[in-house]
Amino acid sequence: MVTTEERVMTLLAQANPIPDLDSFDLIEVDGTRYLANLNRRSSEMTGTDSKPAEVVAMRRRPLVAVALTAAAVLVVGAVAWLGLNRADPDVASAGVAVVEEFARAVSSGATDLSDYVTDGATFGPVTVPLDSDLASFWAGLDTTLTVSNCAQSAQVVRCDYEWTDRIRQAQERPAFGTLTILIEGSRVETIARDWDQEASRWLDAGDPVIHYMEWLNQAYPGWELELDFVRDPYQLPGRGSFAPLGHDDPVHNARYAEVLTRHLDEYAQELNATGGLPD
Amino acid sequence: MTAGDTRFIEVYEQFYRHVYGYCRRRTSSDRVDDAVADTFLTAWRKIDEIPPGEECLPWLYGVAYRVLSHQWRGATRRRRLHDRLASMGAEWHTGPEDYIVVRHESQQVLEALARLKTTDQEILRLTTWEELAQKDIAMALGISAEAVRQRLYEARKNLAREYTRLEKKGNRTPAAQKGGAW
Repeated sequence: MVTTEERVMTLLAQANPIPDLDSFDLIEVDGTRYLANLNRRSSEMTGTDSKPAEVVAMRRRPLVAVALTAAAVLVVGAVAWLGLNRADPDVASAGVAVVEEFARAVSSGATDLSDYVTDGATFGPVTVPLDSDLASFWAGLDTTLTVSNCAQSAQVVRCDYEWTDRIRQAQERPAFGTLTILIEGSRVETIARDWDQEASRWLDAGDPVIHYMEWLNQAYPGWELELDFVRDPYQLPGRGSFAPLGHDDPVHNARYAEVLTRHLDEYAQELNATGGLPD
Repeated sequence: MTAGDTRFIEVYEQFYRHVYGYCRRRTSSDRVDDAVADTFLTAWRKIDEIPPGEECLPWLYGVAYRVLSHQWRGATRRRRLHDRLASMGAEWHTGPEDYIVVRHESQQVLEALARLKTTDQEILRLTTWEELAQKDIAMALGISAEAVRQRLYEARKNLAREYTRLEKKGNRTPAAQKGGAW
């Protein structure tokens, strides 16, 4: 006597779309060639080639510095984007409501965000809430993120953004650029496409974050911002992506926020003492 | 060539076919190559983390599962999967390499499968399609073997229940579907 369970399991086995792998005439499986291709793509992305590790490290250093800076900006954008909240009831608007709905959709694991992100929509001003690990740091800066020209395609949302905070407002230098967000269930990764061009633009514009990074390196030699330049599955040749190490680890993020907050406070004090950012 | 390079080449050449099959069973044909490429790209990045021996393949399946999860998560995923299931018959019939007669029962069991929790679906697929042992499923999904055993037990029951439900629904007359008598 075959039970329903057994019958259904048999049916499931029979429903295997590819029961026999050997019947497939797959491409030639050449690991050496595939590895060479990966290395080539990596070189295109990082500007390095297959050299000894120390040579690669030396060449990567400036790139990583730029990457870290870009990553810092993007992480801010991502955190702000995820933790969108109204700072003042008066700023309530249809755009903010859409953003909040969007945030809820992301947190519930939705992958099709076309109902929430409208091409050409402008959101903001919005600030980050205090219940996020990193939020207290950015909220303390009176961060304002304005997102515009959002477009959503599959699991990728791409927006133009302008980000200001206490320091940037004083300098009248809002950060701006393109924020690309990859939705992966409840996780969100930011991707800076063409990040190198964008970072160069920021460098040329004397971006405060760059100066902060330089100050940080001088003030705390050997201390490293715990962001990692990662090569992830979504990159395309010549493009990079970023993710903070341990970004899904609350303990790590709390420590990270604490360290950054302390350093930035010191930086702000130094700015006050010296009269502002260098030109 | 580094030891990592050598290891990657071995892994790639030994398991490409398995990973391809895994992805091909779970996603549409136009997305398979990307999923396989993403899986091996992750393996390349994490070459030092790949376990040796027999655990390597379940580890790769685990990566592929996470790669494919992009397409699967959330309510939208379920809706899309239903749509995909509905179109699978035509797609497979016309495929040059795998002419499969998709029977009504197969479609129904896949539809029942899609109604289960995502992890339970994967446990059932890994059991029946990849024929993995419970310890290897545990490795692929990052859960304990005991959890796999328990979830498999429940998943089998739930699959049978959903299948029976669909069977009954399919046997309804139009009048019954409108709320009339069976």
